[in-house]
Amino acid sequence: MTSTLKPYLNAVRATLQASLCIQNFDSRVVERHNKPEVEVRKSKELLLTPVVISRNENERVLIEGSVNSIRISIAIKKADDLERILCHKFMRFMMMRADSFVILRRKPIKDYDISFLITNTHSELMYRQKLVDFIISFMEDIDKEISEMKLSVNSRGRTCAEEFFKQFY
Amino acid sequence: MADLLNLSLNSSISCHAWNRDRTQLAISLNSKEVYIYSKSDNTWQLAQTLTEHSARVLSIDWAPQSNRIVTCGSDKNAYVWSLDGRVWKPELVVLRVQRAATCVKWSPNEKKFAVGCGSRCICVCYFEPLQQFWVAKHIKKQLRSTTLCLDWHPNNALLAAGGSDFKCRIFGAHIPDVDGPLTETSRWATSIKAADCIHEFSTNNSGWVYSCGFNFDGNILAFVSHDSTIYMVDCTRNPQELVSQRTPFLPFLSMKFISNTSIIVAGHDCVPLVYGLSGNKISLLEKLDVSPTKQKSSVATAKDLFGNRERINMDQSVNTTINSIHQNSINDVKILNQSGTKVTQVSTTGLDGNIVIWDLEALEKRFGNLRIR
Amino acid sequence: MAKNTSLSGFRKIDIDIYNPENYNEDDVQNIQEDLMPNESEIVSLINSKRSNEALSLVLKNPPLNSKNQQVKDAVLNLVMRVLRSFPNSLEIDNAVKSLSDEALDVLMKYIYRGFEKEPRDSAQLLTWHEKVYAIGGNGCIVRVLTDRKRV
Repeated sequence: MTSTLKPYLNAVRATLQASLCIQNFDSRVVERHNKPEVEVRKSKELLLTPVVISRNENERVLIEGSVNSIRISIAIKKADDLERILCHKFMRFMMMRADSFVILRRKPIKDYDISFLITNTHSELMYRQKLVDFIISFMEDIDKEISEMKLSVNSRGRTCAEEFFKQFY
Repeated sequence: MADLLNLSLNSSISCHAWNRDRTQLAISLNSKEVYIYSKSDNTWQLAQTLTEHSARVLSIDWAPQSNRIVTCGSDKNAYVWSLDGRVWKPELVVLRVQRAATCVKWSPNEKKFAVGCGSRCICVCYFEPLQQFWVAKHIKKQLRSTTLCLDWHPNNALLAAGGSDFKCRIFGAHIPDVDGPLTETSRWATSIKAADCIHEFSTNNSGWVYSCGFNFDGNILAFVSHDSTIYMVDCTRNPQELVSQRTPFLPFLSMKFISNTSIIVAGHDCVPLVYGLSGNKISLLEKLDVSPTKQKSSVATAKDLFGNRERINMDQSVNTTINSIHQNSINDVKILNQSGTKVTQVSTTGLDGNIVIWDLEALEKRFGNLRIR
Repeated sequence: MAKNTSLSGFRKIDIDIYNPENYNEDDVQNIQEDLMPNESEIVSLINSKRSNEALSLVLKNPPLNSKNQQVKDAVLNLVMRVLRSFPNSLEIDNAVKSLSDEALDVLMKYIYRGFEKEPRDSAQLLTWHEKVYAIGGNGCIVRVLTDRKRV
């Protein structure tokens, strides 16, 4: 299972590097405006082909590019209901604090668990390479994080059950 | 060889321009202002701040002979600045456009300039002595999207323009009232009608054309686009076909001819490259990759801020510098010095806030393969 | 006020999109005849273990300009069959090295399309992606992103 993780992340990294070539671009539709074209989607010529990189049926990344912004959406592995709930809660927790994560989008795209929106302002303020590193390490850690939480929920459940059944002794 | 100009700027640079003797530099830091720096005793000092634009300045050009600066920006305006005593005074140009003015370029005779903008037209502007105003003539033919780059043919009558509609075009931009009768013809077109599209070249993989230019004798047009491909057309060849070269690098944002057949390109890969045309093949001559001296870059603080906020990434070892002088995309290349048709020095600016001077002669000695003809 | 002004639907029509001067996607794609790789020829090449030749043949005439999605999907399936027929990564290396720049770009397009359509084969596609990226570099991926002619 983990054997495909490295090539998967490498492919995502390469695609991110290629799609993070963004620059300042003033809106063609509204005067004196400057909006992320990937969200507005009004000028077709400014959008790039969206690409998907998948590791298996459940885990995949969607990268949508445009002239001044890119949107990265990640679908995370969810093996059972517990993981589904945990994933949902965890993502909700983060997205409610999207302001302090700078590049996090407040809502995920349909069929994905979490989305990032990187605009040209971000790439001017921060190193492009580090933005890529951040997304990659996020993807690396999120699986670990979820399975750790799953373990702790299970052990907590066990302890609770033990305590509960003690009264029947 | 490759020197860093230290102006201690704390922001990314969107564009820059030099005066004739290279003692003054106009730069815009991705903001409404244009800063004029002047050199005295090898140090650069801020001479004046030009504040007239109400939104981000996108392009600057400095006319070497008449010593005038023209700027344009997101506020749909362009201003011509001329030196009045010791201060620069602005004059508004009546562009009559509804979207951001993205690029500006003086014609070689400095009597007119062209402004590219987002409202599907190119303005050729000249001074109307009767009204004491800079007025604009529009070129509208076949433009479908924002114009991103412009360059004048040395004969002042042809204008190359590339844009986000994946095309690079050559227009007739001769204005008889200003330029006088058309004397010099070129091999691009037998007759030049004003505001007419003479040639149209498409990119192979629908990339936005970021930068275009004519060479010194005006016979070759080159342009670079977002599909990481370099294109050149030689009008002396028959037929005038588009030569392209796919590159394995990230897209280039800027290009300049450094001799009659070779160009320097730079972009998202942070390293300038030299490509040359021979026959109908474009080939990589040299990667100007000089090992960088360690320096602290201005955007490091912003990055640190981000790094600290980012919980998961905290334990990762922080290695912020990449192996090149520029630490972020290069978005502007300008010619600094040339002897005849051979450029000896170029300057590059980038999103990392660095201005780098590249001494091509010294680099030529260092890299055996680099022969700029 | 006239009665029919209660209909306000017309106010919401985006008239800008009807401007004939606007950029139009169809202008870029000039309609051409559907060129398709010859299926039986490729299958016979695969069966006779000549995957290298099958690969260069299948990448020769991609139906980029076709408007028919079924044709494109059929060719994708064919490409996937060819890609699957490579036994080990050494063979893949050799195959990728022998391809022209143009064929590499087309192959990269199929790899991304494969990720989207056939996520079950991802492991194999990831290997291919790595090999093509090693030769074609970032430019190869950038051209997949920019190109409007999809596979």
